[in-house]
Amino acid sequence: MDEKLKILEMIESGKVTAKEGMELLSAMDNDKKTDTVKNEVSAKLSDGKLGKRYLKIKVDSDSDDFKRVDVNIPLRVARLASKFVNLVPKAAREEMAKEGIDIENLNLDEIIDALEEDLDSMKLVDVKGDKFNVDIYIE
Amino acid sequence: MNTHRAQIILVKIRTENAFSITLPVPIYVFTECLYACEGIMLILDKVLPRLMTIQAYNKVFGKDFGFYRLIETVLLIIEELQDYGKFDLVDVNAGKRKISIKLI
Repeated sequence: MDEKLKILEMIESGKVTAKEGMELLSAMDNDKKTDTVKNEVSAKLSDGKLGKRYLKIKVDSDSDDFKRVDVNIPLRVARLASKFVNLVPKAAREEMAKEGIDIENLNLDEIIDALEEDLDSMKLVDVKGDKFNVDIYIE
Repeated sequence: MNTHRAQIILVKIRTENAFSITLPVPIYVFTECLYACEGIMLILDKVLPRLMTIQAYNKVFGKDFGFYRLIETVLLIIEELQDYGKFDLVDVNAGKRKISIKLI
């Protein structure tokens, strides 16, 4: 509030023009909005909602031989998968290339960045079959 | 310093004939073993391409493969997993057979 008053006083005394004063005031509002977002993010970080996000893969089945698979991969670990690209055998890479998958030029970091931007949980795959249900989501 | 880091990888295996085993693997011990292997991996990286022909090496391991890089990547993954604290990594239930890997 004091800062706003100071700007108004500066306009009154003629130190800045009304237009410049308006720009300063709108810049202050933007700063406040940024602060609100920062506070929101830091609150989520302290809650562990943002820092600890998982790529969850769940497979449920009615079959007697196979009931459930539950895999939780931390998103930060999923980011490291790009380091494994060089470890994929050449034959496997060639097979994937035949299917149109070029893992060497796959930008995993960009994909995970996009996934991390959304603060809430996000469902990526939801397949419901007769015997199987497959869910892949970020939480 | 993160005080909530996981310390143990708990592997539980239960087979069809009701045999069950629980393996608590201290992460510290596991990573130390990997660090100990780093030197051998470096030697393998140097020696193996000379023992095999380049074509054979590339066919088996791939052109960009490196044992040292493999160990480094595994260590990085373990470190990241540890930072996540306690959580269930894998839980597979296949009728009487069960496998679960937890970080505690």
